[in-house]
Amino acid sequence: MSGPAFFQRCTSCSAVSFPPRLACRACGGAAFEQIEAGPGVVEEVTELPGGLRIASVRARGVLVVCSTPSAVEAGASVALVDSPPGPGDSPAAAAVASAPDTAPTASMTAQAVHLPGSARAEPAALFTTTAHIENEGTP
Amino acid sequence: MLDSAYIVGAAETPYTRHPEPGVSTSGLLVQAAREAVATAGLRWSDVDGLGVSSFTLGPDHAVDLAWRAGLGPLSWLMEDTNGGASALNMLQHAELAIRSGQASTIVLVSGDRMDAAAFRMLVEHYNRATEEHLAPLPITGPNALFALLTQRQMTALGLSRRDYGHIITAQREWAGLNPGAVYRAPLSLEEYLDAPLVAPPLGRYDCVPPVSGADAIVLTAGPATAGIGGSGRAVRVLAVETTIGIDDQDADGLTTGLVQAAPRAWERSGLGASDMDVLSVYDDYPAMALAQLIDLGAIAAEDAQRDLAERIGTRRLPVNTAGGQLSAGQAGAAAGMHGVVETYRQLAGIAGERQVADARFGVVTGYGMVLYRYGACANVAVLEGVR
Repeated sequence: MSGPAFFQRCTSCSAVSFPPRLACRACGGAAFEQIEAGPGVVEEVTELPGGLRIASVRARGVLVVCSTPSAVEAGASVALVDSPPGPGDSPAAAAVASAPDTAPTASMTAQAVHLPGSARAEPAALFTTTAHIENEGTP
Repeated sequence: MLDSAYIVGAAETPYTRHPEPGVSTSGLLVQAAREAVATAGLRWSDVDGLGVSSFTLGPDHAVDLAWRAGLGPLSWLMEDTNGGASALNMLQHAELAIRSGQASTIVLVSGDRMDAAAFRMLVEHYNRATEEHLAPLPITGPNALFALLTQRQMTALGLSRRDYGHIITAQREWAGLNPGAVYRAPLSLEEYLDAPLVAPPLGRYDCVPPVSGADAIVLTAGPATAGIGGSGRAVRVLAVETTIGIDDQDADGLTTGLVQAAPRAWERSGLGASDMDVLSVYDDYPAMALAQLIDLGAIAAEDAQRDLAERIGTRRLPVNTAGGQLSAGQAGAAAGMHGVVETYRQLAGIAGERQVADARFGVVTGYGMVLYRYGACANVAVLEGVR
């Protein structure tokens, strides 16, 4: 069963990014937290030979590329999940209603779409701070 | 500081859909570079600057190629990794190197041996975002991304598949006049529309055929001496401008960095889109060719449907006169240099059957490096043929 997709939010200015960045484009900050992507709205869909649908989905203002094996139409609300959606991906499992304050309302039958590389990751330092390097180099 | 640098020679190896055994990326690059130097009437030993762009040269880099090719000592060396923007990125640096005297004869060469395995490796491992967020969808290559973008452009400009077909069929007509193009047989609008869909609305003919090959140009500080197959005419570099990262991958993708770079290039050259006798835009997909023509100011967005039929489809506006990538082929990193070579040939008056009469001014664009959804780099060069 898939889990919900996560985006990256700057702790300084709250700008949301996906894919995750090393520094915030809006304010230059380098401290981030993870937030659930929440439901999204499909903007365009195409279909590859073999039937896989690739969709542009906007969630929390960010435009991401998702896939789904089943038909989905522009304008539909969808749940973003971190691995290929399967039978266990009910809207509840995908935590559709987890961010009612910021995201469009998804119906309880929202279809799940796959956003690869979006699982919650352990917090980790992205790089060693300059200050730390300078401290080590100071006699 | 000299006023201008000049392109004095150019070459393109034959493009092939399926490279012969024994054909290598480094071999193609050196073949194109040597031919370009010969067309300029210069000697290999005159070369003191080298710029290289290739996806498949590894583990070698520019310095390895220089050594293996018997070049040196060099006073200028660069390698550019920016795909469809690499040719003009190198030209932007090389022009200043010539004008400042850092080098007197620079060869810029781009190319790849792009067989099926190399192409798959390229598109699956294009960058980190592709590896982590696109390849697992799973998609291989950018067709799906540009299908989504094309849908958006169709809605924004009120276009149908038939409208884009004018770009495809016109470029195929130009390709019919280019012995080096891989697809030269005429293509009708109906054949274009009836072709199998690859990723709706994109059909087979909206996607470039990957080929193996290489393209090269030679820059010097002065006008040309006629070499073998050369013209004795030089092409002056009037302006080269680049914009990178205009939309953070988060806008609609319909506006390229040219919307900022082109006005700077027009200001520096003292010219405008309507002064251009030949145009070469980076045609990885017809939607991007159109987006760049709009950003250059060559077509007004509100007139797009009419101009596609009446100016592009009729070839009254000479765009991608060698057939472009869509018909001549996309030779990996050479895709950006292909347009520079063709524009040089047009402005030097050596474009053969497809020569545009009295072509004096030309514009070339580059576009590329899809970070997640869109190409991040765009650049433009304005060129003038001089006697």
